[in-house]
Amino acid sequence: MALARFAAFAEALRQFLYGATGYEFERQAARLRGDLENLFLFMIVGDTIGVPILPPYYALRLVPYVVETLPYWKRRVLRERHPLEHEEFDLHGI
Amino acid sequence: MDNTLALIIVSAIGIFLGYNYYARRVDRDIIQSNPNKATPARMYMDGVDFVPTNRNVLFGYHFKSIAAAGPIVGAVTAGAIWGWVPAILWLILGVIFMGWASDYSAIVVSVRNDGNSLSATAHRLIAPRTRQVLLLFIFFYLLLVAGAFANLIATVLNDPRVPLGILALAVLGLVGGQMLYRMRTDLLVVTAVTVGGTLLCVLLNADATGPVAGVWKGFNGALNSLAPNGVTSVLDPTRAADQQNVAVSVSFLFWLLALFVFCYLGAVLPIWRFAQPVNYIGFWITAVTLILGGLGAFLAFFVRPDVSAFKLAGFYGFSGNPSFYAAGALQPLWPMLFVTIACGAISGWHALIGSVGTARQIENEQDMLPVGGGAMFTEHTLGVLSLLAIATAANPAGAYFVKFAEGIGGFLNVFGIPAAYGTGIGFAAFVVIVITVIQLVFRIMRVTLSEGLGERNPIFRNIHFGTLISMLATFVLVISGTWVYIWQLFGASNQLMAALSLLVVTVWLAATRRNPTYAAIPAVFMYVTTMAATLVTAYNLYATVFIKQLGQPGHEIAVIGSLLTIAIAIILFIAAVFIGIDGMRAYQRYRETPLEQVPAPGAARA
Repeated sequence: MALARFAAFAEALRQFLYGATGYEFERQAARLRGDLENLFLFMIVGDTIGVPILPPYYALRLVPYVVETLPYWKRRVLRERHPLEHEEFDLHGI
Repeated sequence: MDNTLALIIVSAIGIFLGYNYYARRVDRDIIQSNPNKATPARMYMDGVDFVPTNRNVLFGYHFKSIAAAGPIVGAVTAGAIWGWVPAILWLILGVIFMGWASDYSAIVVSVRNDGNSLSATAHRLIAPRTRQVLLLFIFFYLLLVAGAFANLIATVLNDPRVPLGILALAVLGLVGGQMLYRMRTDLLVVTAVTVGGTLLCVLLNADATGPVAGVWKGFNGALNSLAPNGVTSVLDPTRAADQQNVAVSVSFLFWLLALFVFCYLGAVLPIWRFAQPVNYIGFWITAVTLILGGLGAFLAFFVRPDVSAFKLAGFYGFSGNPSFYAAGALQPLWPMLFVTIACGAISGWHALIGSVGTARQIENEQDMLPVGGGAMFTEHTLGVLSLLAIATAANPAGAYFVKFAEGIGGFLNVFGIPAAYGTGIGFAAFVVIVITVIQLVFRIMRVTLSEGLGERNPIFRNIHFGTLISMLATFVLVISGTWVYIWQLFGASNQLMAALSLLVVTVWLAATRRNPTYAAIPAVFMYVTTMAATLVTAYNLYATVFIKQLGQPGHEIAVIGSLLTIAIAIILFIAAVFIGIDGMRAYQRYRETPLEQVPAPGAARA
């Protein structure tokens, strides 16, 4: 019982330390990837959110692969943003 | 009572009672957090902004986001002005009744409003112009924090025990970014190289009589020989009467410019390249100082009672330290204590971060309290530790940060590290913690300038121009000399943001027919207090800095700097008046016609 409680505490501590150290880099990597995906989807299906981009013919072959992600992508790019939101990683520690 | 252990126990009891018997009650009965309710992170999961995250990971992330130089400098300054008793009382009572409420509620409002930021909610609930006013607050907040910190850091860098650690921080920050994102090195290896390397350089330079410090001493001496009487003069009214005319030395100017170069890199390079790894190293240094210093403070009572005993006066009186009223400045306990200690008791900046970043990662509504409130209670311990450091410093005279470093040196001495060496480590740790903050400040300042003025004049969108303008304004503030007033004005702008965030929360509570008392009373208190503090600081600047230097040859930049600071104080005051009027109107409006019905207390927990 005591050992299990200690193990649970050690696990919580490990998670806390990860949150305070490595998690920021994980989020930064996710954001970099998200930005690239944004650009990619703009090129393929930008017209679905009103951006007048004429995609190349071959982009049509990619559409079936991105259809599932469209609702999430639309919500992400059309969401109202705080002026400093993109700099959220810079806000830390003040 | 006047020893480290007693204060640690009092603070721990305060945290225990505040969290378990007040915060949990509000979370249960008023907010009615419901584990079955889908949070924005679960509803809108996109793998980027909205990511359901484990409670402990998020707690660590949020704590890391809010803990840095603020609680250290505030507690140290307030302790030196009014004594340790008022400082600890405000730290404890502030965090119990206001601090956690502000941080936690900002997250709650965001979670219950589809993950919208505080400014978006203010725009919707209070008035469209509230968002613009918030941006204005943010810009001046940043300018003031940069002015206060840059002055401190340039002064400390001028000390020959410090520069090597900071140079290592800059170089290893660049190396860390390269290793992590380009070479894809394991984080543990990167940590060992960057944090270990910085700590090693800090240790190499920590001995004031050592060879490295000797090199810096010679370097500073050579610089100062270029202009033995200094470059310009400033008046520091907080010093003794015959020492108020302070010459700005060439070496001070050099280290100020070196600091600006450091910050320029942080402001214009991609975030992963420099600012983020530097901040990461800074966090480790903060954590090591916090843990070792905290342990030392705790153990000192048993093994080194001489270190544990307080040397600082408990209470200097309601008018503060005599050096202030001797100079003609007003430092009444109310309202000035409540803005001098901002972070550690309550901070508006936390609410901003919480609503933008943390709230969108909350997996379960019942995580809102441990993450938002818990992190604030934990950050409060950093303020208490800083107060313990200054209270136990061997030399009660001297600059505030010197006393902080001496206090940390005393705590490290408990583990056998020589006091002189420990003080050097305390110095360097202080600089590392603060400098990681300043580089981010300039980065956000240029973004704020771009957002606020970019549409009127495209030149403000240029990252180099925005950064340089921010640095120029900061330079003028720094040369105005009296950093304590700038710090207090920064505290006032921070606390006004806290009042604004609590005001948004109050209006939201009224709009959803919840009892708003727990947020409304702190909102009114902080609003009135910070308005008064803004006026007092403007008077202090006018009476003790501006008018005394006006017309004096060699003091021209100091006059401009103090005038700029007075103008900022007036702008903040006027902006706060607008917010107050709009907030009152919104509160009345939603009391009469709430937005939605909420279930009766208890129903949501079924």
